[in-house]
Amino acid sequence: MKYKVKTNWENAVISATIKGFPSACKLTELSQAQLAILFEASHPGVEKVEDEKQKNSGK
Amino acid sequence: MAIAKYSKTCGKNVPGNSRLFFVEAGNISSITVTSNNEISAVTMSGTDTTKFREFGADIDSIKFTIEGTGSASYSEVQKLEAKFSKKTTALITAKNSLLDAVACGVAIIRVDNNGNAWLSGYTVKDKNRRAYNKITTNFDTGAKPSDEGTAAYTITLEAEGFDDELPFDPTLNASIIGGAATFIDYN
Repeated sequence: MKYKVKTNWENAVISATIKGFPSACKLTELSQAQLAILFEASHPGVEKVEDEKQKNSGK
Repeated sequence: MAIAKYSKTCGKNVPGNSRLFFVEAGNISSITVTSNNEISAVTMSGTDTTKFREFGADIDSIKFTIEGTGSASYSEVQKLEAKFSKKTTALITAKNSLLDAVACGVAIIRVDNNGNAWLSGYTVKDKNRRAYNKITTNFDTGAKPSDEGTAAYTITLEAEGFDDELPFDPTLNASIIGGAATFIDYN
């Protein structure tokens, strides 16, 4: 699974105390692993998307 | 550096606050702010017990103040004062939990009488390192039944920093006011 920042959240800035997170930065600057952490924490600006590989393997 | 413009908007202003929520600042794992500097998301670490907890203060007793001063540098002292009555074991337990939390820093959400919620004790730049870390408590029984305003705990939390409180965006503000914010444990 891949994670992406939802539309209208591209300019949002996150300030997190989570280990490994950078100082205040845009959501779009976070890695997939960091977006996954936010998704698991029910962050409203992050969503899960099916990646191409998985989509194709399902066909 | 250019000074920002400020246009006054017409509309009544209602002083005072209606609701109060406390959390150990370390329990906030992140806040996300919009380009308008409004909070659009709050995530918490841990389980349900680490959410913001509501403290039911006496009506019209919650007061938030800022005293800022500076020249080449600037700092401000933020104080949140509220009154709680009557004295019960539940109130003593709640007060004691706040005393423990202050040692590591407390963040506060208050809802003002204009219908806006505000976060202090956690900032974008300093995160939880400028949380409320001082507390004073005061209790006076009063002498007779007509001693209005007595027989209540007055609890004051204090923080020193340089950033103002942060408001919430309209969606999250409505969620907080409506009792649906997932990061708050309501009464």
